[in-house]
Amino acid sequence: MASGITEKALKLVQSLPRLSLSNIKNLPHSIKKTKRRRRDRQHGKTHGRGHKGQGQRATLPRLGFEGNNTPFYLQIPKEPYYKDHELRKEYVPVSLLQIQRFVDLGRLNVKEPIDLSSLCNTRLIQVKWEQKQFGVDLLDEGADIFCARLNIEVQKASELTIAAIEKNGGVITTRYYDPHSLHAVVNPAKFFAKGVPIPRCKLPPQNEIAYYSDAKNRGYLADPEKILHARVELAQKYGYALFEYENEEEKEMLLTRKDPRQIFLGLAPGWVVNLKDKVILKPKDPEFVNYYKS
Amino acid sequence: MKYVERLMPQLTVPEVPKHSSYPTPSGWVPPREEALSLPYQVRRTKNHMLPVYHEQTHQNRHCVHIRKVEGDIWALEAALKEHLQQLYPEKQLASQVHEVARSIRIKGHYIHDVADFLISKGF
Repeated sequence: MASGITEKALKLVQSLPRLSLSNIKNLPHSIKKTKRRRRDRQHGKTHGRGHKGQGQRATLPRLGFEGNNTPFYLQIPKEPYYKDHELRKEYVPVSLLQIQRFVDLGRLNVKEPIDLSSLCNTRLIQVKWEQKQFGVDLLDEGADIFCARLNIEVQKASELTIAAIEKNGGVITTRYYDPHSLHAVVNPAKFFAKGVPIPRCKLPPQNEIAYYSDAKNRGYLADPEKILHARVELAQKYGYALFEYENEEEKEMLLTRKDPRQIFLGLAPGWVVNLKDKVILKPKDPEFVNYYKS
Repeated sequence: MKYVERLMPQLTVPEVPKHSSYPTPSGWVPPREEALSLPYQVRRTKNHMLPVYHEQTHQNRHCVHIRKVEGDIWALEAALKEHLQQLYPEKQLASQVHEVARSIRIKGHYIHDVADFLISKGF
């Protein structure tokens, strides 16, 4: 080695004196000075408080007070950046073009109902509840080339998107997941590995319940009869004929829907999935059964 | 239990199913075998897509980034620049070849033209 650092270090260790209490030091700030009483000549008499006035007499006004004129912290106007931040929701944008591409490349199985779990299982879409994302917003980019017949469940969808899906004979429902249920839905494998009972999905909050009760949005809380009317109306508006289903199996698949409290298709809330033994445990206690059924 | 198995994700990217005609409704075209005989190759990504990306910094700095280039990378750069110059004769084209990373960057908003060119070559 050119610099010979190792040799220099070894020589240093050889030449330095023996380690003893006189030549070692504590790490900085590892030992704090104890607070001592103010009794000596330097800290006595006024004890750090000066002479007379509010300072010595402990009657000072609150911090920021400027003698009754409007203080600095009230003079400057406030920009309410975080007002209603707890009510703001984000939805991950997914276009019809993307869905068509997933179907073409075999990432999504059209023969089974597609919900948020299947979309997230492709690992091409990520929904993060920590970032106040509440699901997926199906956009209408690619409505002109869309030709897949599928049963899809998203969180938000525009009128054109609904028309594009129903024109090809598909079924779309919009549905709400509360953050705790969303955590389970987005990564079912990770959730089942926990061994926790499947949560019961909560109803949407006040400002979202109107959206999901509207048949025009194909909301999961809307009246099914009104949805049928809305389908006919939309077909008339966009000028296509309503699809006639020939295959019974396909029709059954397209019409499967989840219960408003159910987050996984085929699995009820309250059940515990044991992945290792490949067994599902169901509650028997009437209190639990009634809670999860409601 | 079958519903639980249905909720389990696929751990590998599946092969693309066969379609009767290409391009597919979403505009996807499969790569062709003949393209491998060219002096340069552009491999598909693991999701079977073209490795061509649009990069934007600041409001108006657009770049096309072509990754996974194999073979004679300089020949591909020359071919791309010639093709784009024919389409846009007045424009000046700036490009960067990164030999170690096997990528090409072209300054400008030419992502669709580059993608069409690569698909026409069969990549």
